[in-house]
Amino acid sequence: MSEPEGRGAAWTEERTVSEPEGRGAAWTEEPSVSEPEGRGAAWTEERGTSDEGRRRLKRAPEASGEQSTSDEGRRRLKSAPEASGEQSTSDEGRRRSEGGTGRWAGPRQASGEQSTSDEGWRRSEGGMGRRAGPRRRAGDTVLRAEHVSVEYAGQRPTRAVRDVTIELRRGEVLGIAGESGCGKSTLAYALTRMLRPPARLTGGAITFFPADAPPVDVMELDGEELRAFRWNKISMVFQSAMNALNPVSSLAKQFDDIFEAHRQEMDRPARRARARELLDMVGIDPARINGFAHELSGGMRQRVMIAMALALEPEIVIMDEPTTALDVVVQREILDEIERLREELGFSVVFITHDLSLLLEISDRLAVMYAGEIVEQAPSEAVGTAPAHPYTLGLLRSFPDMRSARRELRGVPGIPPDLRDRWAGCPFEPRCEYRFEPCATTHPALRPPASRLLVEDPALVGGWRVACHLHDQQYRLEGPPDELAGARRDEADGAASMDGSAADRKATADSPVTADRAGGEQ
Amino acid sequence: MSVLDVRNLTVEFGQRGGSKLRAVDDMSFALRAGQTLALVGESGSGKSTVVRALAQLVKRTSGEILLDGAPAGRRGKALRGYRHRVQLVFQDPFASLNPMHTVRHHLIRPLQLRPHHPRGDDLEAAVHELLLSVNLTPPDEIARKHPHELSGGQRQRVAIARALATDPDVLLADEPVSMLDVSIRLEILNLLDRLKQDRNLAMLYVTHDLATARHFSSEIMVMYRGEIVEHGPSDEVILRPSHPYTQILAGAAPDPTVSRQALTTARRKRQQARATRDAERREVTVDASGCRFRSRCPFAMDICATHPPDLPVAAGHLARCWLLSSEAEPAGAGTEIGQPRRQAGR
Repeated sequence: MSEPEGRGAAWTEERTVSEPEGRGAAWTEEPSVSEPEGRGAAWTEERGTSDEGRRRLKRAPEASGEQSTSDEGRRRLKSAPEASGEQSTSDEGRRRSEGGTGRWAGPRQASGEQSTSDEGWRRSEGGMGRRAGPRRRAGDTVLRAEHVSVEYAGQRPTRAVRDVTIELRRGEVLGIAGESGCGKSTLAYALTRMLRPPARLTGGAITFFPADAPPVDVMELDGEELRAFRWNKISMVFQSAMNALNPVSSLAKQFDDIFEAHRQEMDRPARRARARELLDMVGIDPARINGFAHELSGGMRQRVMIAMALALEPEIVIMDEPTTALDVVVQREILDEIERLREELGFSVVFITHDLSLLLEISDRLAVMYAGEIVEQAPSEAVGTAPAHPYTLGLLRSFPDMRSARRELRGVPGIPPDLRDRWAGCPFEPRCEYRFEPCATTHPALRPPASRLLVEDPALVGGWRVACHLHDQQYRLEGPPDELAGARRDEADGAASMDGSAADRKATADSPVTADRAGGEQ
Repeated sequence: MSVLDVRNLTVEFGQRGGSKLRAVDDMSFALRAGQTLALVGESGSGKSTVVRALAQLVKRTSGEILLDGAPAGRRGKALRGYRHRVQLVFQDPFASLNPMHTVRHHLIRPLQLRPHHPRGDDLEAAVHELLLSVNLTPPDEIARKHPHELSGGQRQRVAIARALATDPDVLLADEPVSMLDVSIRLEILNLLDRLKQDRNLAMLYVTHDLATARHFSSEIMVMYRGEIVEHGPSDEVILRPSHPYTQILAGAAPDPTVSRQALTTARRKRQQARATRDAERREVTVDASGCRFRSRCPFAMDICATHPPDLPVAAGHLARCWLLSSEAEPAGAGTEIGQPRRQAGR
């Protein structure tokens, strides 16, 4: 046992105290959703006890004498047959899953924060009956980051990520969009706990829900546990694959590094065979295994990076701008490859890029970040057709559409705020063309948008959130302007969608904007 | 009226082992005043080499560059005169400005190269005017700053102002926005577009982004491995691509308007096509003659071993592909050509 008894308890206390209201709800659901009766009862007994009780809960695995370290515990759970944890029939099985949940969910449970408003929407998102026990299905939550904040230390600390809450579901692609410096990459590093000073996680909780083991509090992982967690469970495809490979060692050596660190039981032939298999999987000739990075093209290097990220069959792959340096054709190949592998292997992807048009295509849900905050979070279809936040609309308008009519294009004028500053209102307020009175003084919270699209398709309600006062009845009774209220984008821009047919082209040529433009060009 | 006429431009680089790498092969095109010509292609296709050859930063192996009908000077005073009139905006505004110098210095240097250049207060006024023309305000303050005090977009504006300082007729923009943030790309492109109109500039816009190429240019040239495979009015080229390579390019660009189901089907198709092609490709070794694209081409046929000529698609629209020739009747593939994009491209 690596950590002393006392420390664990101290941690627990600290965290319980510092947790914001409303967080507990997520946790309380945990056992209640699919737990057997007996277990629930066990919890009630424990609930609301003193610090001592909490400590007992936290150390439950140890007390039961079953699991000496959580890592071992997880491994054991993993190796245990599916059935054992599914509905704990045997005493042993129950104790085991109890131990697991006790360790992770217990402290929060004990803190006694029960029903809050948060609970409602979590439920409403549906399809995520999380189970403390094994066998999670597609659609379950696989990673949840709540109220995560990251600071870069300095005279005036740079608050790069501000109170971000995201949830990644099993098998989905979650896109994170935003311009450079908005905290996208920092968030990715935070999720994997890879931040190094001067960056510091200043708050929040990150929970990983493995497919076949109890939830893991990523924030509490340390030392060997953390090392084993990374790449095994969450791996990452780094920005600029061009430089992420080691130029002086062969690909085989670099694959070996992964297996030596994480799969000590594999011998050389097994490692070699697995590396070849991985290369083949991403469409690279396995004979290249002894080659070096400089012998590969940019796209091939990116494929190798993906193969490495998948080497240990992680449940989550974080892709930080994986295609930014590549041209469109290669980018398309890589995206196809990612989609194919995801279908085959079923991992979840956090896909980070500034290219919103790409994200709309590849991701199931996406979050738009601005100045370290999430300003809109929605199913991709919703964002693509009817963005609710002015910034999202601005981003979408920054991409000329390749096939539809030429229209006037504007970016988002202005520059993002200095992340060292503090502001009372909305971070986007200085650049926003829709700003009105409360924007400068009141910080907007994420809320369901007042969008016509929600009426047409209520299924979207679950996940769609926007941080904008325009959607707040309290400030704006009449609701947001048309282009943010669910009018289809093409309607709102006054340009007919066209498919390259002559009739359409003629029609659009008559619109003032296009005529003006055409006049200038021809 | 074409300002810059490029005829049979060829650029070769020496390689170890004596053989030459032909980066640009026999390209001819013209830049017209007040118009933008876009040059698109994948990385390594030779786009930047074309720009460098036009700016005479690399020597051309053969071919002619005519500025207003007169051959471009290749050395000495004549070369300097040429460079005054043909200016370049580089890709990376973080690297193209000297961190040691102020913005004012960056703009004064080219201004002072002009014959009878302004001095004293007039010089300052000229700097201010340049800064205002690229929307950098307040000019006093900006002029005093060093590059590190500016954002990427502001830096690129300074780079544009610097290019305008010699009052050029031709502006070569080599991926001017690819290093910038999405939200400010359009501002820079709109600025270039406005300057082009105000100053009647002939502009070459090099990019790999088909969508902006279509929106900001009147004509598009598609480059593949050193040669132009398709050239025509921008809407024609993007909406009705004729060369299989252009079709693939157009099909590969993300399109948020397509439904997810259509995407999945398109992806499956591509993957199948790729699998069969990959198998075949291993057999074929590409030799120098013949169509360069044939190893990747879904419609490759026997005649492709012969180098294809430029064949007309429509008025002012040429494509270098045998599929457009009546001599070569492709087996089953020809039907796809001429149909707009996706089916074939994706």
